[in-house]
Formats: sequence, structure tokens, C-alpha cells
Amino acid sequence: MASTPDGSTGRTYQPTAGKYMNIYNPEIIIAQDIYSPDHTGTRKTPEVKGQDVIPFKQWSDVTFVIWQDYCKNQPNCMQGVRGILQMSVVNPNSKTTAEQAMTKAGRSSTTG
Amino acid sequence: MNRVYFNINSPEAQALLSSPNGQGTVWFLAQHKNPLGWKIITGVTVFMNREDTSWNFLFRIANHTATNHQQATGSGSKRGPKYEDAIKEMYRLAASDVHSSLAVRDEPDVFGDAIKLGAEVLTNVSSGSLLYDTHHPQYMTDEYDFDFATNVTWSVSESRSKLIAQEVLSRVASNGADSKLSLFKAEGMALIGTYEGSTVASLIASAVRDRFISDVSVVGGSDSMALCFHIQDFKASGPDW
Repeated sequence: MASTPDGSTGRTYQPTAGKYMNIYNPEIIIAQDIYSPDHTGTRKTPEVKGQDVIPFKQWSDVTFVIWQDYCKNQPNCMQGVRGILQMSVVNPNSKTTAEQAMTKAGRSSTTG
Repeated sequence: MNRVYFNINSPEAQALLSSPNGQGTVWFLAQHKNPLGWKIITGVTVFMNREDTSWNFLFRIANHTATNHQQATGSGSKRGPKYEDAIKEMYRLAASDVHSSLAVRDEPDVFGDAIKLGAEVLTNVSSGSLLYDTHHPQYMTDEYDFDFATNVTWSVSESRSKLIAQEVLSRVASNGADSKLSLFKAEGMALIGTYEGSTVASLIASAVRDRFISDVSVVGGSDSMALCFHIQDFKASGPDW
């Protein structure tokens, strides 16, 4: 995310290089490439973190605003979401959880 | 093993929900409940990319209903009255859903009336005021073929039903909609509002209490049409709408 004035505070925040690349389709939102400003801000020099990161920063909030825009003039589109695909997950905690879940599934053969 | 589906009741699915990617998904649904409707996550499919061996999480989302709430909490895990209640609640929701969206629609008369009638039929079926004695000889004819496991097909002869079925066919052709029409859609509800639809809905509710009509489709063309009512076993399939 580039330096952005925040409407609610009037403050201009420093860029963090965070990005949310989503693909919007009827019924499914694909999160293709997502790096939160909280995460990428810490890699900047100087670091951008804590209160210096733009408050409008969560994937859920940013995605909702664009989903709303995508769905305008399309009846039942907003409520029609049936899946959210988080693609090529890079977050280490998410990856570890997936690996553990898959290992456990392999052991107990609870495939679906 | 590169692809596994985890039901939301499993510890694996719950762990995946608590992962950073899961949390974002949950927040998305939870914080925008009004515009998105009350949603629940029914399960997670995890699969691997062949090229870079990275993981993908597909969170499956459904509308919150009394039905799947019971499933999630385990309170409806056996056949019996709970299933009946859940199906009634689903019918009631479909009726009120379509009914309330009618206010903003401008439907032609016959079609609009059929939707209202369909909603009324489902409301009455769910309140128990429109149930038949299925042992009555009137219902044991060759006119329709009851296969409760999958579907009921009934050829359309009544002129009003024909009009409604034709209107549905033209809509399906013009907007490329799925030919299986959910009861939560105006078209599906209108087909319940036909003579055939109301009879089948009542019969299913009367005779087979843990099955429900999930979708309706129109088979055939202008000369010869049939309505096909798709029946689902509540326990085997669960709601999918």
C-alpha cells in the first residue's frame, strides 16, 4: 500500500509495501497474493509499525469494500459468496497448521 | 495426499480457521453480517499447488439456518423430529426470503401470483396445515412417478402450470441460469406455486419426513413439459443453498 491519507484522521501514512491481490468472481473470492501492511511495514527502513500503519489495513476490511463495489447493481451478489480461496498461503503459521492438518489426515485416513 | 476436505466439526478445520488466513476469512464474514447475510463456514479444503508445493485453503461458506446450526451444535444429529423441524424451518426461510424480495421485483401477474402461492404452500407445509393422507387412493396413480430417493417427475398438463413452466424456461434460456432452480429463487418458488408443485411439496412433507425438495427443474420444451422435483435426504446431503 502506498502512502495514503486516512479520511477519518486526516493523517497521511507512510507506504508499507503491503498488498492484497484478490480475484473477484460471482460466489467466490480468491485471495491470490496477500501481504498485510503490519507484516511488510516491519521490513521497511525505517520500520513502519504500530500506530504508524494505516488503520484501514485488514484483508477482511479492504476486501469487503471492493466486494461491495464489485457487487453493485448485481442482485444477490453480496450475499451469494459461497467460498473464499486463500491461494498459495505464505504465512508461516498458516503453513504449519496446514501441514499438521494434512499429516494428521494422512495418518487417520479421513480424506474427503 | 494432496487434497483433503475437513468438516468444520473437525479439530483440523478449526485449527485452520484460527490460522492467520482463516482469521481473515472469519473476520470478513463476521464483521459484515448485515450486507453479506449471516454466514457460516461449513468446512475447509486444503490442497497443494503442483508447481511450487504451496498450500491453498478453500473455505466453504453457507447461509446460517436453523438446520445447519443444529448440525454444527450436534443437536440434530439423529433422524426424527429435529430433522422435520429443520426442514420446516428451511421451507419457512425460503418462503419468507422469496416473499420479502418480491417487494422489489416487478413480476408479470401469473408468475408473480405463482411465487406468492409457492411461498404460501411452503409456509403451510412447514406449519403442518397442508399435509395429505398419502395412503389415499387419489395419490396412488400413474400420473407421477415417486422415487423418493432422488426425484419426482410430473408431466405438466394444466394450462396455468404450462404458462409458468414456459416463463421459467425462457428465463433459464435468457440468463443462462442453472436449470436446477433453488426454492430460494423466484423461479423455483413459482414452480412450487403450480398445482403439481404444491401437491408434491405437501406429499413429500406428509410421506417422507426427513427428505426435502431442494430444487425444481423444467424438462422438455413447449410441446411437452415435465417438472422434476429434486429430493434430498437431509442426513446424507445437508442443505446446499
